[in-house]
Amino acid sequence: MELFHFPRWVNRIRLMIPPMLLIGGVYVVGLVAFGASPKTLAVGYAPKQPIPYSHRLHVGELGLDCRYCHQNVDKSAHASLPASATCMNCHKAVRTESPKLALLRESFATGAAIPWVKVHDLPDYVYFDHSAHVTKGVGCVECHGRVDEMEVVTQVKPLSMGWCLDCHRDPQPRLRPVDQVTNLAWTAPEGGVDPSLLRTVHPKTNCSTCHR
Amino acid sequence: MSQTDQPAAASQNAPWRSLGEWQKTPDFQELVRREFAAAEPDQLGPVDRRRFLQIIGASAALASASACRYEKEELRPFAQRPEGFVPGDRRLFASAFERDGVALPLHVTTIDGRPIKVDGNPAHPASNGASDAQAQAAILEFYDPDRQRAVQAWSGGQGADKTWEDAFAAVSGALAAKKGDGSGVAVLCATSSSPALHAMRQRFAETFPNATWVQWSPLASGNPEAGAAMAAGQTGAAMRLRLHLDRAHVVLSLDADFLGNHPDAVRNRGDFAKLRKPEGEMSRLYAVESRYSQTGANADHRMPLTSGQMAAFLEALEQALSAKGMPGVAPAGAGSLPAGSEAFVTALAEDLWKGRDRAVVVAGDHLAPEVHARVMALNDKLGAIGKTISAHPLPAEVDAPGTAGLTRLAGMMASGSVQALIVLGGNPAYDAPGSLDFAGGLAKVPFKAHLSVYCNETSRACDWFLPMAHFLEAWGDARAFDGSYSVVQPTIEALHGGKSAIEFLSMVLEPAPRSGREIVRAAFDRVSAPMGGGDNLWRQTLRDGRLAGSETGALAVGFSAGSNAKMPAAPGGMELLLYPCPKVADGRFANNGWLQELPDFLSKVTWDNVLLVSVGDASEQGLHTGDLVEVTAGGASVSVPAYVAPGQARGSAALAMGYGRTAAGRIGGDRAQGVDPVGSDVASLRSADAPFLLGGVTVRKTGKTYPLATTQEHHLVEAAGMAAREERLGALVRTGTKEHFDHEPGFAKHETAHHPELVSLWEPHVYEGYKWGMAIDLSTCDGCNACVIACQAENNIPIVGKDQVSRGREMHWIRIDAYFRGEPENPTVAHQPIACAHCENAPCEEVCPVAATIHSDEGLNDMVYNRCVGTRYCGNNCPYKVRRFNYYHYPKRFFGKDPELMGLGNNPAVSVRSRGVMEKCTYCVQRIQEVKIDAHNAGRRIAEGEVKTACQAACPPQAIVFGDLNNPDSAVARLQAGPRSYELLEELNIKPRTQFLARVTNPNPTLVSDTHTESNDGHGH
Repeated sequence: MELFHFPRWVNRIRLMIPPMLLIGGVYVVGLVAFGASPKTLAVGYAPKQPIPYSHRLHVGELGLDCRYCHQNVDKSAHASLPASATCMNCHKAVRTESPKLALLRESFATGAAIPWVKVHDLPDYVYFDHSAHVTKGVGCVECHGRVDEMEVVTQVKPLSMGWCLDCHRDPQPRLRPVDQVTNLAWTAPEGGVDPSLLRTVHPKTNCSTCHR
Repeated sequence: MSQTDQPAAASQNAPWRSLGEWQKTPDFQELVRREFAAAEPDQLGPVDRRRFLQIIGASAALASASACRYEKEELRPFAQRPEGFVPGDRRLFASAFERDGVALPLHVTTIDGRPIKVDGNPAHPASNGASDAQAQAAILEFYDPDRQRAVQAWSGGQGADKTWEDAFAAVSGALAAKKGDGSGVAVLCATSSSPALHAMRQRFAETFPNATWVQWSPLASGNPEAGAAMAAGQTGAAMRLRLHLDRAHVVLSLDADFLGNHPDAVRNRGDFAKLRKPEGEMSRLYAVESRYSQTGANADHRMPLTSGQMAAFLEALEQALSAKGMPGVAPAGAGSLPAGSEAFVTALAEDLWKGRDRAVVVAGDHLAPEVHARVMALNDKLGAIGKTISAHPLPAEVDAPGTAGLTRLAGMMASGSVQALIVLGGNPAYDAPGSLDFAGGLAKVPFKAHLSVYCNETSRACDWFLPMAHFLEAWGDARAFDGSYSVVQPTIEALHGGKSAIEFLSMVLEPAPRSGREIVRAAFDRVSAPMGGGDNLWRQTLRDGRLAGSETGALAVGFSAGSNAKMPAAPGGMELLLYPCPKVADGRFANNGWLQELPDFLSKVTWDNVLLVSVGDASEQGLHTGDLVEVTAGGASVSVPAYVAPGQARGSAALAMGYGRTAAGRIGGDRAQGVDPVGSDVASLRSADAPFLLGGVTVRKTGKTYPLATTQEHHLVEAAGMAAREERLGALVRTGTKEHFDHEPGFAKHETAHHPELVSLWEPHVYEGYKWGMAIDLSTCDGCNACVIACQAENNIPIVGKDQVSRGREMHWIRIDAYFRGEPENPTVAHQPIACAHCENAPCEEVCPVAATIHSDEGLNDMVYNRCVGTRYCGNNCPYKVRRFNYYHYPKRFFGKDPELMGLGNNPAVSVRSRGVMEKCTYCVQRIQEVKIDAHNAGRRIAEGEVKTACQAACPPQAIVFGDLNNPDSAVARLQAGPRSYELLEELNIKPRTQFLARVTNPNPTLVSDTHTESNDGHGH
C-alpha cells in the first residue's frame, strides 16, 4: 500500500500559521475588549446630554433634593424628568443669559420637549417601579451611585438581572431609614441601623415580579 | 385504544361540541388526537440546502448584532406638565359609546395621554362596570391605520387629498343659495340621542326651514315602539320599553334576543343573572325562537319555531291563559302550531298565570307591530307593566326608528329633488335596504358630502369625504337607554384632524364657529337646567359620567287596547331572518379585526356570515356545513355558505347582516386595494317593507363548497379517548336542575370520576402571601364574548387572519366553549369560558426545557417570553389547551409598515410577544402587580375586590370572580368552598386554581319528565 504524502503546496500553509495565530489573537483580544467595554456592558455609559446639566453642582453643591426634580419617584413607576417649567423656577432669575441654557429657554417658550438621553435604560420587558423601592427604604445611591458627585451622569451599576436578584434575595444590607433614601452620602452607623427604623420587606423573586 | 370507528351517535346524555362530534365523524376524531391542527407547511415549502444555509447564515449574523447595546433612547418631558399628570400612570375618563342612539357609559383608561382600554362605568346603572365586545373593541378601531387621514374630493371612484378649507368652501358654496329656504337640502344622520347634535339640528332647521333631516339606523325595526304605541291607543306616540329582569321570575321570549341583540343588553344581562343563582330564588326563562339566540341559550325551556308562527303561538298561549282565568282574550285565529307543543304552552301558561305580577313576555324586534301590541296587552293583563317592563318616552332627540324616513329621502333623491345631501356618519350606500336603490339615488344628487370615521362605500359615492373624529377624540354627549345624559369626553387630540358632527355643523351654520366643548357645554346647560345646572354640576357630570336625575320616568299608560290587534298571517314557504351581527353590527365594525376574528357565540364561525339552516331542512335538501348555497328572496339572491345549526327551527333560515363590505379596509374588505370582502352582503335581499324577516325564500345548492374558519372543534379538551370518557373522567361541564340542586347541592362534585387516591410526585407548594384563584359561574355565564375581547385589548393579543384560524392558530387567551346536550333539532347549550387555570401541579411547567414557564409563590404560572424558545411542549402537555403560540409576527401581517399606529393602542404594561413565543392567560398579572405595589407602598395588604382581571371587569353577569384564596372571606374563596364548585379534570391531580360552578337551570318540573320521555323515544335505535 502506498503511503499518503501531503502535497508540496501544503508547506505554504505552514508558513501562514503564525500570522493567522497573530490575527486570531488580535481578534479574540478585540472581541473581549469590545465585549467588556462600557458601551457593551452599560457600566460607564455616560451619553452627552442636550444641556450639560451638572448633578454635582445642583445636588452636591447647592443641595437640591432628588425629589425636587424627580417628583414622582416615591409615587409612581417612573421617577419622572422635570418639566422645563421646574428648571425655570430658578433659571428665570439665575444665569438668564447662559448660552448653555438656550435650549431650556426655548423649550419653556415654545413648549417643545428637551430630548434628554436616557442613561439607566432597562430592556422594555422589564417593569421596574421606583415607588416600590423608594418607599421601602432602598436609597437612590444603591442603583444610581453618587450622582451628587457626577458632572455627567454615568451608569455605575450593571443593572443586570443577576445584580437585581442579589438584592431581592438579601435586601437587608441595602435598606436604610426611609427618610434617608435621597441622602446619597448616608452610611450606616457603627453597629448597624436600629431595626425599628427599617421597613420589613419581602421582595419577590418571581419572574412576574418584573416581567409581564 | 379508543373506538374511533364507532359510527353511532353520541350516547344520550354526553355533551357534544359540534355536529361532527355528535356524529363521531373521522375528521373530528383526528382533530381531537392532534395538538396542532394543520400539518401542511404554510410558509417555507420545501427548503433546499442552499436556502437552508442562507437562513442559518443570516440568523448567525443577526444573533451577533443583537449583542450590541440597546439603541439610544430619549426621554422627552413636558415643558409644562399638566396638573395631576403622572407619566406612565393610568388615568380614567368617564365617557360614553353611542350606537344607534343609545349610549353605553364607559370609563376610558389612558396612559401618557393615549387611550388604551375601555370598560363600563361602574357608577352607571346602564353598565354597572360591564361592557360588551363591540365597546371593548373601540380601541382597535380608534388606532385603525385604515381610517382615512385626509379630507378627500371623490369623483369617478378616485379620491384626491384636499384641505378642510377646500371642503368648507365647497359645502358653503352648495348651501349658500339655499339659505332661508332649504328646499332641496337634506341631511342624513346616523341615529343619535345627542342633545348637542339635536341643538345643531334645530339651528339647521332655522337656517334651512324646508330642508329634510332624516335619522337612519339599519338595525332597529321600530316595531316594539310602534306596537307599544298601538297597544296604548296612542298611534304615533314615541315610547321605548325597558325590561326589569332582576324582578322577573317567569320570562317568555318570543323570538326576542334581549340578552344579545338589544340596545340595553349589557344591563339586561346583569339583571337577568341576579335571578339565576341557584343558592337563591331562580327565575324561569322560556324561549320560543327561530334562530338559536343568546337568550335561547340561557333558557330553561326552548322551543324552535319559525318567526312566522310566533303569532299563532301567542294566540295559543292567550287561549291557554284564558282557560286559567285571564280575562279579555280575543277568539283564536286560524294559526296552527306544530304537534307536541300543547304541553309546552299549557305548562307555560300555568307558570305565567301563577307568577303574574312577576312575569314578563318579550317579543322580538323583527316581529310585526301588531304582535308587539298583543304582547303588551298580555303584559298588562299579567300585571307586568311598571314591575317587570315599563314604558318610557323616547328621548326627544331620537326619531321613531324604522325605514320610513330613509324611504322618504330615497324617493326624493330618485326624483331628483335633492340638490345637496350631507351624510353625517353611517354608511347608507351599503346598509340601506336594496329595494330603495340608495346608491342609484345618490348618483342623482348634484352635491353630496359624507362625514365619516372611515372612507366607506358611501364616502366613495359622494363628492366629498370628510374625516370624522372618533368618539375617543372628540367632545359629544348622548343618552343611555334609560334616557340619562352622559358627556362624551375626548381622551386625546384628534389623531387625523377629524371633526365631530357638531363641530362640522357649527362651522357650516354659525358665523363664529364654536369648539366641541362649548357646544356640548351649552347642551348640558339646557339639559341640566331642571337640576340646577352650573359649573359644579358640569364637573360632577364629567367625573361621574352621568347627570343624575336626567333619566326618563315611566309613562303611566295602559296597554289593553292591544288585545284586539290583528296579527299577520305567517308568510308562506321558507322564511329568512336577517339579524344584526353581534360582532360587526350592520357592518360598521367590519374593519375591526378583533370582532371579525371573534368566534360567534354558538357556531364559533369567524371571519364570515353563514346561512343557518336547521338539521331537518339540511338533511332534506342534502346540505352540509360549508356548502355554498344561493338564497333567493323577492327576486334578489346572494351566495353564502350554509351552516347546519343545531336548534334552528325547521322552515326557517337565518343570516347575519354586516358582511360583504367592499370599501371597509384591509381587514373587512376593500376592492380598491384588492382585499376581498369578508362574508356576503345581504342588503339586496332587504326591502324597506321587510328589512328583517322575509317569506317565500328558496335555498339552492350550488355544488360548490366554501372554506369556513370555525373554532368549534379547536382546542378540544382531550378526554383521554372519546369512548373511555364517561367511565374514566368526570364531566367537563356539569349541569343540573334547581330541584336537583336543592336536594343535593354537591351534585357536581359527584360527577368526578372515581379515581385512586391522588398522589403527587412533588412536594406541595406553600403559599404564604397571596394565593390567587378564580371561580367561573356557569349558571350565569351567557356566552356574550365580552371577556374575550376585553382580554385581547388588555393583553395586546394579535389577530391572525382567517387562514390561520382554520389552522387552529387563533391567539385568544380566553375562549368560550359551547357544549350541546340532547338531540340536534333542539339541544340545550352550556357555555364554558376557559383560560389558563394556573394549576398548582402544572403539567406545562414540568416539560419546559428552558424554565420559561415557572410557578410563582402566589400560585401563578408565570410565562417568561424572553426565555421561551418555542418548543411548544407546554402546549402539548396542557390538558385544557389554553396555550397559544405565535407562529408569525402577527401584528405585521395585515398592515405592513403601519403597526406603529396600532402599537400606540397597546397596553404598555404588557410585553408584546414576538414570533416563536408561547403565551397564555396570566391572570392579568400586570393588574395584580400594579395594585400590589400601591398597597404595599401604603404598608397594607391588597383588599378583597381591589384586583379585577380584564375578563372579570367586562363580564355583565359577573360570572367571573377573582381574588385571594388565602383570605377565607374573599368572594372567590367562598365560592370555591361552596357545593357547586368543581375542578375540571380533577382526576389528573393538577389542582387548577380556576374552578367552575356547576350550571344549574330551573326547568318546569311538569315539562322535564315530558322532554325526557320524548328524547328517549327519539333515540330508540
